[in-house]
Amino acid sequence: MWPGSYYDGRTALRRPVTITVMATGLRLATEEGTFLWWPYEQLQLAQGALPGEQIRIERRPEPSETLVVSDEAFLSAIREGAPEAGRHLLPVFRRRHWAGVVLLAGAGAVVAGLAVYVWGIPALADLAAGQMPPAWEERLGQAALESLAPPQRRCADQERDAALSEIVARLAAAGPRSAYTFRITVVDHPAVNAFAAPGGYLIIHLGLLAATQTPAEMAGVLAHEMQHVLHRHGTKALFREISMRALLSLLVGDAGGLGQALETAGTLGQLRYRRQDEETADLDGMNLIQAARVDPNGMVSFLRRLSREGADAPHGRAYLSTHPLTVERIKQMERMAAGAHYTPVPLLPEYPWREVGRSCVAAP
Amino acid sequence: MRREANPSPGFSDFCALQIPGRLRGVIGWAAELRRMDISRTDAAGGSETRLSFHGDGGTLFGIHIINLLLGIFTLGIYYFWGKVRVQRFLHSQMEFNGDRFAYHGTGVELLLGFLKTLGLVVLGVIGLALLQLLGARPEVIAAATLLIYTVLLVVIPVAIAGSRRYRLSRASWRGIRFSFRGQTGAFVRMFVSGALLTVITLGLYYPFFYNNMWRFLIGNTYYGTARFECDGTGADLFGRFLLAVVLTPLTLGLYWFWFAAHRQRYMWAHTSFAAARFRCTVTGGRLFRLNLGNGLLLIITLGLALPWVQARNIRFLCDTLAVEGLLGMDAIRQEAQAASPTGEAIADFLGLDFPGLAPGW
Ligand SMILES: [Zn+2]
Repeated sequence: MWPGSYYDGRTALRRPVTITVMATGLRLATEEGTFLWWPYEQLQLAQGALPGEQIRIERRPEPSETLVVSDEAFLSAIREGAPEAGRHLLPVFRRRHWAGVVLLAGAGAVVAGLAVYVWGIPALADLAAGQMPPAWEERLGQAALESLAPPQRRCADQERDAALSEIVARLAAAGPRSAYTFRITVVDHPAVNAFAAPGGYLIIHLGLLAATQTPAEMAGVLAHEMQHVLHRHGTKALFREISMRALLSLLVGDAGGLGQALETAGTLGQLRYRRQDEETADLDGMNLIQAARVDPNGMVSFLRRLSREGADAPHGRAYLSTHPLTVERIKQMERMAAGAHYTPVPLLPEYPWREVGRSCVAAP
Repeated sequence: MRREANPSPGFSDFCALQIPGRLRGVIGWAAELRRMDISRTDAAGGSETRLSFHGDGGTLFGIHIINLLLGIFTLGIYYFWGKVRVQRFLHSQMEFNGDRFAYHGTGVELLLGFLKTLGLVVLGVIGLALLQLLGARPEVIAAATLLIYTVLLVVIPVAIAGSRRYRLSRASWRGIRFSFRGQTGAFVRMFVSGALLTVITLGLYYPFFYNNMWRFLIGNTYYGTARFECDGTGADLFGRFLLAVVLTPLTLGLYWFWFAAHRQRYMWAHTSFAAARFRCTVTGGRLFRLNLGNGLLLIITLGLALPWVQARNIRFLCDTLAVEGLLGMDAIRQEAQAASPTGEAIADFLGLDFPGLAPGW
């Protein structure tokens, strides 16, 4: 016998009732001495799983009748009195386990969150980026180009552009057929640095041109950057970034953050790639060099010089910061270069390479 | 993370939380007004009846943690069910005259509302993309910008009214549902003209606008067959408002708490339900202490205390609102109204309000 309150769903009146738990239903006795029969299959627990919640049982159809019981032991009574028929009225876990459930959920949330962050999101984002049409990537690349190479800082030296295009054309011809058109933009900036934006936009700082001693060295840098494009590293990084933010904003319950995440799509951040992306670009860049029969020692000598002097040179650090070099990576490149057995076909024998990074003719 | 600045759970703070820093213009306080959800009342005869809140921040915190875990496992889809879970808890802990409130929303309907809204947003984005095809000529950009602001100006009141219609239709007390029966079209007209007039008069129209909104949102609220009545006027608020305009900057914003308290007391004093009147006893000092305490709690705990802040806000509401002399409950009958969850979803999308749900940290 449990005291409870009954509401008929038509009037705003509370009727005290006495409830008896039976095998197939609840029997409600009103103060006037009438009885109500509530078979379990018509009932559902609307509330009562949490500490401090009253047990509220509703009986359909709408407007549903309601039964409210304050004593939480009432659920135990159903558990014992009607283990089968009343099962669906029981909450998933017992109230006294609440603290443990919360603790478990907290630990689970941390673990699951980390797993999603470390594996789930990158895998999904890479998958999505792989499906993106190259034309869309080009639009992304254009946006990146606008911020990394503002028009007023671009150099328009036709002879040099032709020379660089020749290197790229030779490398591209040696690689697999691809949907990308490679376009080089030289920026009037003293830093030794180069970027690859999605869709085939290669951005070279004047300082890097000045730091190369031979066309073969330049070819090494370009081959590396071209591999970033071919492997869609930029697009993937962007997708990871966006989906990470989107997920975070979803979890935090901030649907507005979704829009913000999408806004960052235009800016593309820093075009900084993951270490493993750099290694891939190195490896496949070297393969490209060799397929194009360019002197593989160019790439090695440039990297070696950069790692030796780069950190001290005033503008050398930039490339190292966007392309972290490790001793192992240079060793790996050296091994690959040493393994190449062919006579290199010279690159740009006519071009005065010593002057390649000397000046910048501003674009009209 | 951005939520930290906005700790007020929509459920609670109709009486609290008019913080000067949140004077984000028309939109900001329109959202606030919309939150004045808890106009639920009743009593049995005679004297004063109060609301009370039995919930504690700890349980609320636990709900948020479980929501977070399930949110991760379902890639965020559980959000909607989590939202329901929190609302159900908050309602179930609120007591009036011996009976608790109840919440009847479901996760499925919220999800459907969200999907509908998402569809609308996608259509909007496609529309804008098509506009881009016309080129970046200045007149195209100007037209597009105007269009976006116009749409927003209309969408906001639609969301406010829709969300209120949805929430009230899903709330009950003693098994009788609440409802909101204001016409969305009428509200849009009132909101748009009010917002424009407020801008044109450099803010002087604000008390009238506020009063109109209150009368519309509260005055079209029903409990079963019984209606809430409002008889306030903007003119009554105008003097205090002018004083606030002068004193708020002089007091580094502090005076706004006192104005907000006065406004709330006035609005409730001019609100009635089934022959009973409301009495709001909030004071500027209490409002200030509440918000100061909430702010400190959130800062010190890096936002983790949000559930406790929510509980504080609701308790504050209960402590400062009373109903006097309610009679005639016997005559009230069930008269539930259908309500689509889409308005709620749009409001959610616009970030107009976030009661409880997902942890705000
Ligand atoms: Zn690289």
